[in-house]
Amino acid sequence: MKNIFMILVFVTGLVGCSSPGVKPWERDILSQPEMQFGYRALEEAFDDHTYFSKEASSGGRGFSAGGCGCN
Amino acid sequence: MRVQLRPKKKMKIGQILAAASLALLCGSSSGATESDHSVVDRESKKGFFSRNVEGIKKWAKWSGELGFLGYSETNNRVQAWEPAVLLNAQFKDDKVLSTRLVFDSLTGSSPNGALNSDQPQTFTSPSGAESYVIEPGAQPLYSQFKDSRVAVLSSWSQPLSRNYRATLGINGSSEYDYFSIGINASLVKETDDKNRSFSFGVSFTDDQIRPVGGVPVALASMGAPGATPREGTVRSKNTIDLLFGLSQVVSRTWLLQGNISLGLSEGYMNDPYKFVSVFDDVNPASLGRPTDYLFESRPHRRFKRSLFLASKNSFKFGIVSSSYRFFTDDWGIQSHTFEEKLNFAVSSRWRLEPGVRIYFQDAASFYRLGLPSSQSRPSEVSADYRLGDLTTIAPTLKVIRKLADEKEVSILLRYYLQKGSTKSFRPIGSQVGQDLIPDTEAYVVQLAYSF
Repeated sequence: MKNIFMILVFVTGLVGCSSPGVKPWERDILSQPEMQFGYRALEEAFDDHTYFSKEASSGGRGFSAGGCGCN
Repeated sequence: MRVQLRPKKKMKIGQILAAASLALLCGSSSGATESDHSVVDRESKKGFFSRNVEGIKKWAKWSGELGFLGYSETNNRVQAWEPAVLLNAQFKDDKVLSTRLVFDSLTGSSPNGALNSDQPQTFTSPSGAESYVIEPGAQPLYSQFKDSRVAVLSSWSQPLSRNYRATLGINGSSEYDYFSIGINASLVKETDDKNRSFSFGVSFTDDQIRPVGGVPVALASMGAPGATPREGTVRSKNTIDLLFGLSQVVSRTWLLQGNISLGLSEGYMNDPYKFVSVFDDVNPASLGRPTDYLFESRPHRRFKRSLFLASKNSFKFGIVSSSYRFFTDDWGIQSHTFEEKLNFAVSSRWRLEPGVRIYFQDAASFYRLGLPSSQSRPSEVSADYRLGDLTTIAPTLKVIRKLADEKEVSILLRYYLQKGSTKSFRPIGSQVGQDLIPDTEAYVVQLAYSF
């Protein structure tokens, strides 16, 4: 948990110390589909299901949807 | 977080899907002969058909994905086929209904948890009705593994105000021995400039487990066919998950995301089909050989925590996606997951996305490769290799073909290599020289069409 808090402080400092962000007219690159988190929901679901079935860890990106007897 | 609404999509595939649905509702025309009456009747139905397709087109903006996952492990182990479809219907006022349907089919051989031996080993099948024999030196695998699963997930999302968006979802899945149903809710708040968002989500899941042949008695001996120890036919498990998220637009080319997830599960978490070998550590003539096989026993509670960090950065040469996940729980498991992808254009229509995922896992505190016969048995023990010390590497290559109207089709190829470790286990007698933790190797292909 100590490591988690250290990382959170770092991230908060990173996003809080300067002036991150863009103006509405500066979103040309950000509007590309490949720049969206969750761009390919089905592909991410496939990946999560594959890894969750073979490893002890799960989740992180979002809720694991649909229980199974995988692990 | 979506930093900008995606451009409008034409709905040709949506029309097809809507038309198919309408066709199912309307039924098919009948009659074997081609009379004038039939022709007029068919033409009038076409008009009716087209008018309704147009109506559905105005009803919502459609988008979605069709996908297929093929997974194949080496050495005749698990093979899986998984077609899936995702449909999004976006209504006015930015309300979205999203539904995903998944079908899983698994076959092949699955490790039963027992250790290799230099002599033949006989095991009772999961149903308790039959037995199967594993030859000397071979990894004990149950070769009749078959499973099918259907899962449905649906969610409704809508803005509550200019900066708040809420989502409600339900999900359910069904296998012949496992049934799950869940609900979830989340709330996202964006700042006025849309550069930052905060999200909170909660989900509840109720699972019903009905092991084939009944619920085995934890830590009991395997038993011969027809005499396996069972206690009841169904067990349950409940899970509550919380998700806290933060997304930040850092610059014109850089996005960051961070999530903290907490999950608490209570109930039945054993794998009812897995054994733990008890081996002789006393008799010099049979050191290392199995003397018994026990059904595993895991804790009835599991508290999971994870931190997930992700970054997307656009450079001239392409878009770099990076992520890191730290996971830990009260079973003693800790893991680190690193993933890197580079998405770049080869031409105006073709893109490539090579990537790699590396995973390190420390074993659960109750994980054992096997139990020495001279020692007292722990109250919790599992030999499931997925709970052990693991290192995995998975290189990936995805080929993307952009189509008209912002559709795309892609194929993803992945090689998955998982290596276990015997660092906490000292082989003795006949165990020396055996491959006690064989590697898990798999090849994955994923096909996807997005519209």
